[in-house]
Amino acid sequence: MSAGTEKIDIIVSDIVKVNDLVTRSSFDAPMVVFCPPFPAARIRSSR
Amino acid sequence: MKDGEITRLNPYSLMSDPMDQTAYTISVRRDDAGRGGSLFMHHKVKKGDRMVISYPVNLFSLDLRARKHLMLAGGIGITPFLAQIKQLARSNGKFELHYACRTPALGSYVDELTAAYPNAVHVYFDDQQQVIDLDHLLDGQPLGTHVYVCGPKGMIEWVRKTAAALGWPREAIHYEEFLVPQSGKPFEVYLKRSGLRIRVGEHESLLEAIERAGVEAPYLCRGGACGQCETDVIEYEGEFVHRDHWLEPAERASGRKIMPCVSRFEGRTLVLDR
Repeated sequence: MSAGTEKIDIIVSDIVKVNDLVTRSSFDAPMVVFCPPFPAARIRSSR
Repeated sequence: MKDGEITRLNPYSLMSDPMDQTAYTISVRRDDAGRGGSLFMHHKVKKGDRMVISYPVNLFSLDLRARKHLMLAGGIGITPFLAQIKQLARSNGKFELHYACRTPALGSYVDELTAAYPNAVHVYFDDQQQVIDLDHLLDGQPLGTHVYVCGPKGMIEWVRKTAAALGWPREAIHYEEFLVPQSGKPFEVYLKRSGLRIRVGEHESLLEAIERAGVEAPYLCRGGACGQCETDVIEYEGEFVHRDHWLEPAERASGRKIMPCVSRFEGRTLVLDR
């Protein structure tokens, strides 16, 4: 995957103030979630 | 995101349920002394705004071979665990969360976590002198437990060192630390393949300067962790300021590699293969 070329358009759907320092924002993402872990071979450390 | 003449490209942890295909949710901690990205998110982004993001990637995934997941969060480092807990709750995975924050008022999501998982969530407030008893906690875990930590650099080091000293296998210790680019002295770089000479400003990263020049460069985390932006150095005269978690000591010493998302350079000449 090359993150530099694959993009998703999103729209801010909700903004909620959590506390004085934190804001929670939600984004409509009209694409299927694609969130695989990295292939192990590309991860050099223990993560 | 366009913020005037600046294009802001910031990585955030997705905190919504990974199975929720309708929306992504993030939390942004406001950093009044930072480079402006969080202030932009707090003050300028409005409901209905359009943005463009990269595909999500996961550099801090659960190891589902673990029999139990022991999670340690500090401050806004809680966000990746919110998604992971939803994932584990869905599959009846066994987990325990220990969440340290400065004060109750700054304990984001404490109430909803303790309400939803009263037996699995433990909260510690600095202003009440509550501290995670880490040695005891790590020492008492069943075989097959994996530990995950996300929070300030000092907390991550503390957990990694304590776990290693207690004999935890390296592959059972997971951590997430995203660095942000630090300001520094401006410097010039020659991008040999592009034939461009660029100047990296005091408050921008080398990667941002490359992008500003219109040169496409690979990236994922933009925080010195994923290795995607690793760039070959062709020639240099000066000193590298390496700040990433990716390069091995020998690679740093060789002067042949740089991670432009967080690292800088001080000297007369830097020529990159870009």
